[in-house]
Parts: sequence; C-alpha cells; structure tokens
Amino acid sequence: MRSSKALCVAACLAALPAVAERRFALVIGDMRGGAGTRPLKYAERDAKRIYGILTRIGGVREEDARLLTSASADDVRSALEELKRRLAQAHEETVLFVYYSGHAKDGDLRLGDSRMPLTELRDALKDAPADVRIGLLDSCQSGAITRSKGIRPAPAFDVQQAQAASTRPRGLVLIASSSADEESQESDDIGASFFTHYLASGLLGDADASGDGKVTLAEAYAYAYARTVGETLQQHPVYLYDLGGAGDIVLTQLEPARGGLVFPAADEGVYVVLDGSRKAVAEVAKPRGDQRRLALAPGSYLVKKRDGDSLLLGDFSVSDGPVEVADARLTRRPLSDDPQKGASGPRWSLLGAGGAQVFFDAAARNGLFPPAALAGVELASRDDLGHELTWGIDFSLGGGSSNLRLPGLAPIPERFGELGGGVSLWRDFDLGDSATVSLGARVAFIYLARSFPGHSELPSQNFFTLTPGLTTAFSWHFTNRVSAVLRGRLNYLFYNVDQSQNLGYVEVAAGVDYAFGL
Amino acid sequence: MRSACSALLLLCACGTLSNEDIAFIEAIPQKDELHVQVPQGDTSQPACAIASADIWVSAKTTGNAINAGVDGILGLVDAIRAAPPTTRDTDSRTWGPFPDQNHPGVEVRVTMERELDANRVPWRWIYTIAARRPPADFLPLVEGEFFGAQAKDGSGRVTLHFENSWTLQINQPTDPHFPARIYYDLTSNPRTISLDLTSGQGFGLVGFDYGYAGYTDGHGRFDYAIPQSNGCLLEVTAWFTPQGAGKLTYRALCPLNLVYGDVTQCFDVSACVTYVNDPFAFTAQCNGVKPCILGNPASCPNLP
Repeated sequence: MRSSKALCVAACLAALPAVAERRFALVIGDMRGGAGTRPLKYAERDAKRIYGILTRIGGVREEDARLLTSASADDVRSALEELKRRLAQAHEETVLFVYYSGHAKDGDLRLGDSRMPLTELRDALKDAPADVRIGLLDSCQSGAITRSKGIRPAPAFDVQQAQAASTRPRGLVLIASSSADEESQESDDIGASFFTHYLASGLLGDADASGDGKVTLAEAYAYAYARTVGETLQQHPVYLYDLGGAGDIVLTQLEPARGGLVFPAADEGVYVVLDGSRKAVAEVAKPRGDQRRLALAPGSYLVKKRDGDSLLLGDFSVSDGPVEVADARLTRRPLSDDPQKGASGPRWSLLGAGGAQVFFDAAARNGLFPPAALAGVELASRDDLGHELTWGIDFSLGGGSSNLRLPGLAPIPERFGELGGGVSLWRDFDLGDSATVSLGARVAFIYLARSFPGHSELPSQNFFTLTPGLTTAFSWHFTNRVSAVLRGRLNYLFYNVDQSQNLGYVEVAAGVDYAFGL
Repeated sequence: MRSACSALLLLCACGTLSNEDIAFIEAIPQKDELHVQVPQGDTSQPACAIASADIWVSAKTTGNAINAGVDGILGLVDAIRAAPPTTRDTDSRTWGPFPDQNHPGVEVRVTMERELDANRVPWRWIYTIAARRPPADFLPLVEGEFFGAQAKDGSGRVTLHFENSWTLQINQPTDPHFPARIYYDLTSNPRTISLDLTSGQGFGLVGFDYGYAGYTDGHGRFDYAIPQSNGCLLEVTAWFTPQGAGKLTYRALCPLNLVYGDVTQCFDVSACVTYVNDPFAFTAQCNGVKPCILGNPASCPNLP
C-alpha cells in the first residue's frame, strides 16, 4: 500500500540544499465532547504521543511547542494566535503543525462544552504566516475539514508536480483520520485511536520505506492510511494537499535519536512495542529483507509478535544505542499471555505507605481498637493472572496510645501495637495515561497487643483474627516506575472476647509505588 | 459457604483483648492498697537526749506484720492478673481452677461478680478466692465485697479465712486459726484500713482491732497494741508526719482490769523522744518522779 511516489519525494528532498528552518507545533487532545457524546479514552494520550515525537525527533523545539489537553476553544484560539505572532517574527523557513485528537461533530471540533468550527481551524491554518502548515486531525467526521478544492481521499499524495521542483515546499496540507461521514475509532488493545497509533508508528520509523532515516509527510500518510484502513476496514483517512515547491517535507529524522529498536532484515511480521503500562507506542510491519528502526525514547519496552498460535515476547531497554529485536531474542508464550489482553507475565512493584486505621463503632474505638497509625509495604504482581488482575501481599506495623474509659473509672492510659498482613486481588482501571483506579478484595490477619503504662496491676492483652475486606486505590503515575498511591480499605472484623461483635474499620494510606522490571 | 466463612473467622479470632476484663481486674484490691503505711523516718540512730521512741519504733514492726499477712492471702490474686478468665459472663468472671504455683497439689479458683446501677456503672463487687486439694471441695480463702467502680478508691471488706488455709496446709506459721477481717475505705481523706484480730492472736500480733488512717498529704494515725513482759498491754494511738516525726498516746491495760494512762510522747524523725508527759513515770528517764514531764512541748509536731 505504500506509494512509490512517496519515495521519489524523499529523494527530491534529499537533493535540496540545507536551509535554516524552524518548526512550531500546537498539539491538542481532549477526551470530552460535551453533550451528546461519550468521552474518549485515549485522545489525550494520543496528543501526548504526537507531542513527544514532534519535540524529540520532529525538529520542534520544546519552547516552540504547545500541548493543550482538556482545553477550551478559546484556549486553542489563543494558542494559535500566539504561534502566529511568533511565526511572524521568525526569520527562518517555518513549519507549523497543528494536531488535534478529540471529538468532532456537525462540522465543529468539540472541546468540552465549547466548539470550534472546522472551517475556522482550516482558515487559521491557511492564514498562518508559516511556509508550510500541516493540520492533522484525528476525530470523527474530521474529513469535513478537507471539503474544498483539492480533496484527495486516496492512499497516498499525488506529488508528481513536485518531482521536478527545485524549491522548498510551501503551502497547506490537511490530513484527517476519517472522511466526513465516517467515525474514527479507538482501540482498547492498542490504547489509542487507530489513526494516531499508526501515524505515530510511522513517524517513529516504520514508515521509512526508503530506509534513509527520514520519515516524510508522504511516507507517514501512506503508512497511516494503509494500516488504518487495513485494521479498521471502515475508516479511510483523507487529505487536502496544497504544497508547492518540492511538495513534501520530512516530518521526523531518525538519526539524531541516539537510541531505538532495530528490527533486522532477516525477520518479518508485525511487531507491537508496548511501554511500561502495556500500552502500544508503536508498531512495525515489515517484510523479510527490510530493516526497520524505531526511534524510541529511552526506556523499557515490551515487544510482542503474533506467530501462528503463539506469541513472541521480549523485554528491551532503550538507552543511547540501537537495540536489535531479533525473533531469536523473543520468548515464545501462549496467546493467553498477550500483554494487550491483560497479561504480560508478572510485573512486580513495591509500595511503601503510611496511614491510619479507624473503626466505625465508637465503643470499639474505646480501648479495644483505638485509631492507629500504620506504616507498611505491599509487594504486588501485576498481569500475572491475566485480565488486568493484580495480586499483592502486604505487611504493616502500627500502633499508638489512647485512654481506656470504663464506667466509674478514671481514664486508663494504654499503649497498643498492631501487626497486620494480607493478600489482595484487584483490578486496575486506567483513567488516562497517568491515573489508575483499583478495586479488589483482600483477606488479612491482624494482631493487636496493648499494655497499660503506670498500671502494673493490669496485664497486657492481645487479639488475633482474620479480616476480609475490600480495597481500592488511586494511583498517579509520575513515571513508568514511580507512582503516588492513595489507598483505602474497608474491612470486617469479628470480635468474640467480651461478646460476639461484627465490626468494621477503614484504613487509609498514602504512599509511593515503585515498579520493577519495566 | 457463608457459614463456613463465619466458622473460619470464629476459629481464627482469639486473644485476651477485653475491656471488661480490665474492669474486673481493677476492682480487685492490690496488696499495697491495703497496706498500713508507716513512715520509715531517719534510719540513723543518733544518741537521743531524752530517750529512744521505742513504742513508735514498734509501730513499724506492727505495720509490717499486718502487711505481710495481707500479702500472703492477696498474693493469690496475682495469678489472675497473669491469666485471662476461664469463663466470661456479662457480669461475672471466673479464673481457674489453676494450680497454685506456691503450693503443689493445690488448685485455686477465683470468681468475681458485679452489680451495676441504672447507668451501667458498677457499684458492688463480690469476689471469692477458693482453693482445694483435689478431690476435695473448694474452701474459701478470701471473700471480699466492696463498693465502687475500682478497688483503689472504693470501700469494702475482705474476710481472710485463715482457718481454711490451715486446713489446706497452705498457711504461714503466724497465721491465726480464725477468720480475720479487713475493712477499708479508700473513698475519702483519710483512707482507712482496719484489721479485726479481736478473736485471737495472729501474724505475731496480739488480739486487737488495729486501725490505720492515711491522709493524702502523708500524715496519718495508727492504732495498735504492744504486749509487755509484765503482762500489761500497751494500747497506742500514734499520729505521724509524712517525714516520720509524731506524737503518740498510750495506756497500759494490766491484769485485774487496771488501766494506767494516758502517757504522751513526741518524737522526731530520728525516733528520739523530744517531749514526755508521763503521769505514772513509766518512762525510765523520769526516775520514778510523778508526774513526769521531760523536754519541750513546743518540739511536738502540729498534729491532733
């Protein structure tokens, strides 16, 4: 499905003399579409991926890039105006990228409860004082933005007129993820919209059909078109192409990136690269004989490849140099271990947390189970069981001091200590890229001991029991490895010394989770 | 399934954590709460200007004898502080029977009951310490009753069944052969403790109704008796300061119902007599001159 014409564009560009160029980008992601729409799951993650690619290998300096998430239409207008001012002040050749992932309906971009007509965005791009303006829209019915002379619902740009040109490209290109009457789809398996996922994969290197270490606009579009249509069968990206001069432009350069994954020529197939949260960051679909390189940011990745009735899986760490991903380095696993289906083998993490424990029953809080401070650790294994289930084992220590109040007696000071531990099973629910909510169940033991300072006549006492309960947590992921966690547990305790009592208590803790083996 | 889970939780829930147990234990008087606390004073023995206050010095011996007798019986209670109750009911606890570590072959059982007022505050406690040599039946060693939520600021009585301790052969050599009763009132100032030994001798003491009153500031009063070699019995009422100085009055109860007294002595913290008012010249330093007044009455501490 690749266009051989795209290869010609790359060749022409390679022949042009180097000119100082400055690139600007406005990247917008919004999961909210306002009334009548269902929130998208991955729009903001899509935007962050594109932002990361453009600023890392797309030639856009971070100070020239704007990332807007959950923004209003006015925020977008303001950002556009600011970029226009800066473009006007630039003395170099300029390129402006505008990427949008979110809802679009009835000719408008839906930014929460605010709207921005597609025509307004198109006009803004047309009028922007940049030599090249590129609009990339990933939203339903986004093809409406291309409704004008020059529309090309085709798998590749027609760049014939550019082949003979010797000047640098100038003009406007609009690319939409679907035609004006089509829906754009998201995929839970890949954790992204199809179009952006393939666009990102292409920009990272899989679209480099020429193998020159550069991904051009034509290459990226051709790749994203082919993969999106091939995967969805019903979503057809469209474009408006109005570039003069050489007619194509290099979007990403793979060589300046120091690290990356290299897929050797000897192997073939579709490889999916997942990040630490088991979300797809890129795909490589390569025939035997072609080498592919993905210019990935430093980090830990899991590569999977479907091979008949089994999977090939392998963990790779990208740093300064290229890392070869050969099939021989992958481990064969059953399909049930598919990391995108909720299983990727155990991923261990250790949570250190501190918090408090409070019983609901006021009488129980009097001496028997006073409010306690707790500190503990929890070792968790994610994806060991599949279905995004996690099991964990935890231990905690705590205690405090209180006063035992008995009828007719002066308060008796008491000091108490507590040892607890349990096993939990929960499921994580992602809230975007950075947040996770967990819900599950836990069975624990609790051992309490108390003594009465200043009352040598009173013996120490203790209590041991099992406590089943529910557990929930909210995690905010600062990095792939480090997360802040706010955890709550609701427990049941059966007390039977003085009398039989059904008691409940809650534990709230905050801590830091560190993940291993990503 | 649900019943199985309940059974599992029931089996796994174990321990001694109990507020009510604490309430019961707090209701049992401790040994030191029933102690006669006589100030020890200055332990050095300087040469006294008038005489050594021997009668006051004997108060300490008397008090120690009483304390030892109380300790011997109430020491049995310590066992229940180390072990959780064997059975628990809403208003009663039972400990044991468990082996008496100090007396092989003897089993001890402690039972306590309480009565609550309308506000669920305990107002009366009844406890019994009983022992036996199996297969014989239990015999009460201590029967106690007191009023209040806790022993340390309640009032009550304790009957020490020494006759049974002899039967069980767990007695001390100086134990009396009859019940002794201790009455105490720790509810006010002064706290009072009395030992009724009027039925005969015990603890090495003569038959007497011993009385002690201790004030919160440390001063107090102690009524006790000292047998004399001439067959008379000195009945003593001693007031003392927290430091151990004091003033005492005694009279001699002699055969043929002859009564001599009262004699007043004041003494300092070194147990030296500082003042004597002795109408009968019992004091040796009076040299038989009646009436005899020695020392300065201003040296007497400000006591009743």
